[in-house]
Amino acid sequence: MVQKKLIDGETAYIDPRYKERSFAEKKLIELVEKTWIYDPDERINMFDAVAFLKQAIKENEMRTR
Amino acid sequence: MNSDHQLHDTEPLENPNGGGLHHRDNVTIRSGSAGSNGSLNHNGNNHSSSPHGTPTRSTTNNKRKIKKVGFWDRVNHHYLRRTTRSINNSNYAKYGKKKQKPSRHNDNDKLQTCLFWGVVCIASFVFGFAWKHFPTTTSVGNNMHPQLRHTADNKVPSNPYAKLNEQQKQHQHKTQNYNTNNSYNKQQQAINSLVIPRFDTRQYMNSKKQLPQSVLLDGWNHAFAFRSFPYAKQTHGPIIKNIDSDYGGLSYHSLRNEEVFARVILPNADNDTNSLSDGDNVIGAFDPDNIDTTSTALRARNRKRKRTTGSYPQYKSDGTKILNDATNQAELTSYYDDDSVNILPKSNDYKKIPRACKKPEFAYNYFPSCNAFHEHNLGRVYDNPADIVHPRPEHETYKKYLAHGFYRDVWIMEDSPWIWPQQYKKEYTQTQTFGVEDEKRTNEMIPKAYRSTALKTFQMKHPFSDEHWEEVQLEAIIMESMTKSPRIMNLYGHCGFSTMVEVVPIEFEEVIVPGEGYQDPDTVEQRNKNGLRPYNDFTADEKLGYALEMAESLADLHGFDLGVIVHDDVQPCQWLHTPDRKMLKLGDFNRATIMQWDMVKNEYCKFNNGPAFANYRAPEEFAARNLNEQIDTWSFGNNIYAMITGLWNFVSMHCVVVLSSMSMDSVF
Repeated sequence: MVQKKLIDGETAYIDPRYKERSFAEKKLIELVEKTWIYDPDERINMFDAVAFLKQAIKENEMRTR
Repeated sequence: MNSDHQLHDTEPLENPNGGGLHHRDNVTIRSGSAGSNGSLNHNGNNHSSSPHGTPTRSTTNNKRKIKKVGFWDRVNHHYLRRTTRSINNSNYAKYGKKKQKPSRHNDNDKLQTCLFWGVVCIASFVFGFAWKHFPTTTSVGNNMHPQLRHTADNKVPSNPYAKLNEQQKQHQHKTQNYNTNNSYNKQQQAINSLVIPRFDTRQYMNSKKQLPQSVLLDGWNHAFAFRSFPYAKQTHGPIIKNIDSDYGGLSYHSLRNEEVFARVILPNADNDTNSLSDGDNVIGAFDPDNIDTTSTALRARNRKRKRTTGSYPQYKSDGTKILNDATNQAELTSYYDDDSVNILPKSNDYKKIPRACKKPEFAYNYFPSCNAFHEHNLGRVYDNPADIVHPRPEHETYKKYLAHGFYRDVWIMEDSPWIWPQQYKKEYTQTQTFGVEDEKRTNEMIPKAYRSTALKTFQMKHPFSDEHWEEVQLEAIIMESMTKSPRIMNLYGHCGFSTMVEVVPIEFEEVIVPGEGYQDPDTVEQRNKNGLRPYNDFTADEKLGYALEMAESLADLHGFDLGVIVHDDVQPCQWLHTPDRKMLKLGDFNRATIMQWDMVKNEYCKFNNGPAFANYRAPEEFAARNLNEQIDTWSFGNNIYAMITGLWNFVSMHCVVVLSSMSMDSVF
């Protein structure tokens, strides 16, 4: 059961090759790992996530240029 | 008969002229005779003449005499006559004994007697009635209550409390002594000593020492009077009726406790300095003139302080209460007399501290209106006047069924195209591909979206209960209050169980996760053997951009000025594309919660959601723990995962209840 796995602290499997695929996907996977922290107090909040994504977009644009 | 007795009385005992024999004879003869003759004979001394005349007369009278008919004789006669008649009746043979034909002649006497007694009864009744209700003056004076009698006699009662002169006192003393002999005067004196004051409500209230006075109405009727829904639970305590004697008005309040008439609760304003004095912070407690500086008094005061310092409530300098962790649940309930505040026995994460959770103001100060619904013409065809005269089938109605969710149906309501002739010309010129399942429908909806609304109506098969009504209302409240955010769907109207929202026609979930979204891990590995091939067609930059849009809309909810809103049901299908494909909009606030504020600890109250299904929820929700807005963040991570891979998380796992369906239906 998914519920049991989640309660036990297990998260979904992410293929590590996505991190090497592109900078954007690498950043997204970083964010996913931050949102999937078990303790809600340690988990990233939505405002930090927005800031993180904005920063990532900025950096991505810089790289493509 | 009476006349004979008179004769005997007037007769002298001894007759001086005549002998005893004569006299005896006379008496015997006279016994049956009439009176007048006897008296005449008796006057003279002619004994010889009188005895010869009288006996002959008397015998003749006896024979002629007719027996007087008395009452009982009459009754017997009547009865006998009846019986004989009945026996001799000719109808006896005809009808038998039991079925006698009633003869009218017989009942005449009975009728007369009945009438007589009836008249007597009625007359007595009328007379009695008149006697009672229109009494004479004498009867009133005797029957009246002694306290009221002096008014009837126009006598002013003497006031015993008035100051009297010595002369008056002496006079009164004398008269009292004199009057004690008479019983009537005793009564009168008692009456005069009575003082009947005018009933003063203000004085009465003051005597009760409660202003305003409270009356408990705990009855059956009052409990029902405040129930609106048949299934409504009684959330308040006993209803209290406040009588404000100053203004003379009545006002109903549903209060939990009697003591909360005002927020500012003053301590007891006793002159006793030893009572409840906790320094200068207490209003009215510090009075330098009344402080007893003797050692015993100070010791007693300190003892009282020791007792009172640990107990709550404590007061600030302005008289308001200070609430701490040690504040009782009962004290909280009494302090917060507000329907928007929930007093709960345990605080966040099940700590054994009572808490008072207050709803933010926008959660209950919303007054829905049905105006937008009435503006729509639901019964008429919006069309060219020519088409109304000759209606075409495709233009018959502009209210079309679109989709349905679990609870609600969705209808597209189009406004008349003739209002915007310029835009209407462009409507049928567009043909695009969106990567959606139903391309035709989206292509039809997109050009009409500017003049149409989505009407969500509650399905009849579900109970129209207060819980569902609250869900719909909550969605309306959130959409209404978030109108300033462009990333959240707009609300146009809310009426009972139905809402009217803007049309955001393009699906987004179908683009993120095309197909079912569940695959075996082996097939996924085979697909990714020669380099990663996600299931959707997004570029990496697009993924980043859409993730930001989703995050922003959620951040709008979490960072709302008036209070945190938790979406609570974050999944890709809740976002839709606007017709120009420039923005994602978040909708569907069915499960949303507006977080409440803990007044004691000054933090947000966590909430519980009950059992959770589907595999996109946070672990604390499955574990049924206290939740806050961070559950949205977890589910947002799931969305990014789906965008990266084009699959659901836990790829091989089909959940027991998959709430994330593949169509637009789940939005509504």
